[in-house]
Amino acid sequence: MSDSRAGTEVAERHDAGEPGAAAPAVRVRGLVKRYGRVRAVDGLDLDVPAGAVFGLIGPNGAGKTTTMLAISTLLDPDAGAVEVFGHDPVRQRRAVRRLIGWMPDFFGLYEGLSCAEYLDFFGAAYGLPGPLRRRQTADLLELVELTGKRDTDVAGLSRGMQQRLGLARTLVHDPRLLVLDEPASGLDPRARVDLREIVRELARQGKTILISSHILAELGELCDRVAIIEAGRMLAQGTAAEIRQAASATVAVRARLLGGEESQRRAVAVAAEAGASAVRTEPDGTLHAELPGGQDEAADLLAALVGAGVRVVAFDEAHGGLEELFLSVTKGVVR
Amino acid sequence: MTDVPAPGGARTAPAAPPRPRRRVRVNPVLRRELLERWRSRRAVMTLTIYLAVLGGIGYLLYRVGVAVLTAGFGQELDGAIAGPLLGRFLLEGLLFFVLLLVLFVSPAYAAAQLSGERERRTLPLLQVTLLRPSQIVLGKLGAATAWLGLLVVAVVPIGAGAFFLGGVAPGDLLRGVALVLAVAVGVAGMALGVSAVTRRTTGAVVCTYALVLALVGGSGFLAGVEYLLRARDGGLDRERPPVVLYANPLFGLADATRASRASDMFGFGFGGGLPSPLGVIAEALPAAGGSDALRMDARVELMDPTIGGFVVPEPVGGDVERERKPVWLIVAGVHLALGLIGVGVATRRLRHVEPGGRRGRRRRRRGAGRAGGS
Repeated sequence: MSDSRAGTEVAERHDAGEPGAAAPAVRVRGLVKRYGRVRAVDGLDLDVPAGAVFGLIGPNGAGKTTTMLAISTLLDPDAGAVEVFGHDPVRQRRAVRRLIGWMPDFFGLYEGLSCAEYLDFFGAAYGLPGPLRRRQTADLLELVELTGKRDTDVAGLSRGMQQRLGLARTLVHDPRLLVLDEPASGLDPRARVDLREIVRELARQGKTILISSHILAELGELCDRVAIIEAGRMLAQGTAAEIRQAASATVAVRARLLGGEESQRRAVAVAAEAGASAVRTEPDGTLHAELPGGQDEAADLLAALVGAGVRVVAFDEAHGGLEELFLSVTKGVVR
Repeated sequence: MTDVPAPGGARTAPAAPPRPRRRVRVNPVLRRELLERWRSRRAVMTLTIYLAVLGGIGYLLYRVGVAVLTAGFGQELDGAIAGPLLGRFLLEGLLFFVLLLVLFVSPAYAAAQLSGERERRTLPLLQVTLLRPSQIVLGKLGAATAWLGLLVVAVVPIGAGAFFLGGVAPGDLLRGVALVLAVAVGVAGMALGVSAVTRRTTGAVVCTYALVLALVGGSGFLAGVEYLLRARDGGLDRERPPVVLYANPLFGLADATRASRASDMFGFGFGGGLPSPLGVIAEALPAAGGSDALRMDARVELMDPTIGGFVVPEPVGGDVERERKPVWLIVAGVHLALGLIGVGVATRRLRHVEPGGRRGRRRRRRGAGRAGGS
């Protein structure tokens, strides 16, 4: 098979996924998966837009891995429907497998193979012809910064390097969707930063990335959208701001004021007038308040403060990161 | 950082499309297995030690044969008579050893193939690729039998040493090797089937050994019972061996090598003159076949001084040969069929993928909400 022809064939294989090009990357409706009497996933709905970096968060046993396995064709749901770019992972396994790259929370070691051979093997398993495999191997090793370890036995790599090689493995057939299950698990901070940078780079290239992690601060930095699941059920999904707003009837705001105590007293009065609760000031001139409602009410308060002659130099929503959001949304349900 | 390369991405089209070349696509799983195992220092050491042991066994058989014949003759051996006896003793002994080795090694080696992938958690990584379950299983089967095949084929040069002594035809060696290879493939296939349904490598190995024991010992035992019943009901029918024996690889090897029967009287009270390890089971071969047909005729040829040391003990009675049942082919077929069933079971099992399988599901049931994946 010639190189150009091989390339055409691979391109054709990619085209096989095109009917679903307009569809969201992942659409899950009413997904149910039971393990014995336990419902690991219980009527889950999920929408991952194409091109998004989507975080799947939830406590242990929430159903994240099960959901990811169902999306990755590795688990047949008991009920419900899953679509990956319009393809059914149960009935169109091969079409879905061409479109996804699945990275589990374990590496899967083949002792005795070098990094290059490891990637070459998985390239062959995806049906890539030899010359293309060799090019992919070189490029992917460069992407995950393992070119220098090309001929090193995979067993001799550090955990972080193994994770990066695992990520390269998921990319070997150029999938459109990456399903990364706890990719940063067990990595030291440096390795986590490296991995995060690679994921960012992939997102920049337009890959859709579905990622689960326990390190919520990192997910917060990476993800456009998140879904919070607990006990197999979807609690919330959307952008962090949308979830926060949906999860709470109040909005916490924080304002930096100039003008000393007088200005602060006036600001407290204005806030109280606007119906804010838990109003307090700090010696550095920061005002904290919780307003009933959402961003509209926050904007109204800012206007009222300025209208009352309070000099405001900074005004924003005061919220914690994804971790705080996660804690506020989940209930700690354990099955 | 570079962009993730898109297969078939930017590439300049050649002026004239190159003529497509046909390339043999090696099963990726087989290729990886061969890379992983065959180039290791351990493989070289194993093969070296194996060949040394095989050579040692050949020499030992020769020395034992010489000692027994010397004791039987009570005088110095006549090379024209003793050579062929030693040749047959050597061939049957070597192939018997290699068959036992295959029956011992194959379960341990092949049964670890799929369960080993599961234990090191690489099986779902394979399943999520575009490899079909049958490709994975056949790759594994190829890997298991390639190594065993090498061990079996390695016996040929040493077994061919028997030709210099006489009493052995090239066909005896080739049929014997072919039978052992078929048994190796069959047992490996069965082991893969067992490996696909068991969770642990240890369990897979033990179950496969039990299967092999049933094929060798169980069939022999059942055949013995049938013979006892036949004897009670009015005599033995040597034309019709018990059907279960066709599952016994030793029975097939006895036929493939035309092994001497234990009851053959060749002057010393041993089958073919020396105690063949296949002598007892060769007794069950159909009367028209095996060494029965060639025994007396071959005896004449073996002693023909014009032939010298290289004797072809083919049956002389043409009528008898036509009636001969290809027992070894049937035995080989039975083993290949059992292996095929094993491959089918493994393929079917891999089609339904649930990483972690039953153990994983149990763990999830227990640990849902506690630890580990969700």
